Amino acid sequence: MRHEEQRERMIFFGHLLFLGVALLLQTWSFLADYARPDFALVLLLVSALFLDFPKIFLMILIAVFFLNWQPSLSLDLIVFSILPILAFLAKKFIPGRPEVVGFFAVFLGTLAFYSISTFEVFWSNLVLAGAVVVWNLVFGYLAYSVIAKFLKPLR
Amino acid sequence: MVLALLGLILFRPVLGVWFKHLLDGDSEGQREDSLIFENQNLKAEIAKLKEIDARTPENYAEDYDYGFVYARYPFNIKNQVLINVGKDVGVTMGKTVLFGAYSEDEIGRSVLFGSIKNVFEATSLVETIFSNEWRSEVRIGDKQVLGVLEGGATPAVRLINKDANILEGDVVYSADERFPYGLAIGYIKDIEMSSDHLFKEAKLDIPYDLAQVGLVLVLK
Repeated sequence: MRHEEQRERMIFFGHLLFLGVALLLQTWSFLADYARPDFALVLLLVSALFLDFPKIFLMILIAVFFLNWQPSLSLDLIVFSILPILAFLAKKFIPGRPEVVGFFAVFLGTLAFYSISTFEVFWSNLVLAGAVVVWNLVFGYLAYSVIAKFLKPLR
Repeated sequence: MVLALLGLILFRPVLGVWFKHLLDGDSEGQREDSLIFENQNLKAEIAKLKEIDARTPENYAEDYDYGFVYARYPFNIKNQVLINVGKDVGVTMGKTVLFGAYSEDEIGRSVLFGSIKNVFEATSLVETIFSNEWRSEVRIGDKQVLGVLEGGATPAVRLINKDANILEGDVVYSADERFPYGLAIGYIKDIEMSSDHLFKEAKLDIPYDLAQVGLVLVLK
């Protein structure tokens, strides 16, 4: 039992480490001039399919604290916080293979995030929008593969 | 831990910005030295653009403040930066933000970088010309051809009269009522017809790298 608890802790620590890497990539300035994956958002959407609520909630708070770029909480970060919770609920209540739920979580999560934070520009620039969605799906696939292989909780 | 983070996010969200600075590991003094050094290198690049120097009107700014770039918007589409001047020094929304000037004599050589989108007590949010949300009227070259600047990772000038005689290398400068007239922005490059063949459009060659911009100037 104790061994299992330790392993669960290590797995969560792995998720936190993965989040740390995603947050650094998200804020790396040389990547910021181009369309790039939303590393932190995608990782939270994928992690939400594996972790229980208190853990994913803590990860969301860490990400929001780290990513905030202004002295007030913006609509963008509020949406950013809610989407992984919706992914968590989707996993609980929508039947289906987890990888399919993961695909739709990342795909719909990306569309929802940009539709709410910057609707007009996102939908009027379909090349950029497409690039962002594809990047997010690619990173989502990688994140899902890593988590499913190495960071899958026992329960 | 959850409650502490929640409290910080709700009541002291700016601490996240300061926390990132702590991770950078530079002291404020080192940071300023480093930024001024980096910006002077970029300024040298801008100074090479004699056309910009000649185009930009002199003495249009009587009152201004310098702002250090603290943080950047972390997602795609928008390109905003947080700078360290705000209500405390009289910055207000919509004010023009320039890049490339480090003394009063040099203001005439600076280029349009963005405008103030939101003002806080000691900081302000700048919408840069690299934001996909940016739209402003511009003129091109000596013939003063009208166009619309559309921001983005590679800003572009669109809605240019298809019969207008514009050339690669022509300077693009501000002609929008929100900003001082004649502020240089960049050069025209890659001219082509729009997909509906009603207008010309061109990419904008910007004489600096956004990622290296650490010090800007806010006109009051």
